[in-house]
Amino acid sequence: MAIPDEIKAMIGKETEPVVTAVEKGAMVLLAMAVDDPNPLWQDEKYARGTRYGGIVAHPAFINVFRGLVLRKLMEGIKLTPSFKGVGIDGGTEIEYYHPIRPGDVITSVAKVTDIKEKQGKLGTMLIFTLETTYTNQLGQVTATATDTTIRY
Amino acid sequence: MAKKQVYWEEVEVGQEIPTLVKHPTTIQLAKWAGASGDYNPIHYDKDFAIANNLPGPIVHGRLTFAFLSQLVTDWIGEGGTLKKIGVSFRGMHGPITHAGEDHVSKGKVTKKYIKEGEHYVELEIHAENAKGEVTTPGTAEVVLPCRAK
Repeated sequence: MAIPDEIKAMIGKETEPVVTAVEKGAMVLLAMAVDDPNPLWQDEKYARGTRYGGIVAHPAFINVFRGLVLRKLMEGIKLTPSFKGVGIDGGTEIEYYHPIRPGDVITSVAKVTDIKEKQGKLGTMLIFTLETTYTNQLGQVTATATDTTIRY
Repeated sequence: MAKKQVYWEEVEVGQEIPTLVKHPTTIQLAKWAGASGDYNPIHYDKDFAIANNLPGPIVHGRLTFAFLSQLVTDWIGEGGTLKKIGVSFRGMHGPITHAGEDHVSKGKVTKKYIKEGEHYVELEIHAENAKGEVTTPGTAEVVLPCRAK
């Protein structure tokens, strides 16, 4: 099966920006879900005395925005009947430029840069490569990510 | 958590960094689902997971990513900066039960250099499941403080 044209047409297209306000509680809950006791993620009093001047988000917090933007991107895909619509996370590479702080407003924009087809034991799989840019309210790029997501 | 700060000069290529052992349970997977917004039922619904050819609930790849991030940020301390981390999800951790199972993250220094006045260290990192299989190989790039500066 060839990759359907309407899916192929996604390559190079950017999603609409997903804008998310960052709440301190959400940052702390994520650090707690990781069970990561580092006070930099959750202890304001401690963090104020560090070079950051306050708590910053756990490196994994960026995945909250990634989930939102990925959903937006995949909403647009009408998978053909042979697809079950199962998603698998293939991997990620994230580069960090500016820490995320409480009150930040993060704008996430993703772009599909590649789609590959592969025959696996579960049938035809489509492997999407996405590049996402996360920008804060000051216009600073907070992080960029290259993600691989698999659909079958 | 006033740990001893690691400095760039003290780091040697080939050196292993302290292993991080976590113990994810179904409660932790539910917490991660809520905190991250990833509600795929394969991570908390045993029947659903089994119906989807899995042995039971498995750890979210992004939670493994979070553990590997912790491995690195624990080592670099407050004075270090995580610049980049990349991982491939190749294997799984599970079936996860209420009792949980060990999830082991390890790292090793592969390179150290100075770039644009910053003191970089590169690491090879990976996660191992309770069977000792490498599930998630990756790399990380960090900047460490320098005693000489």
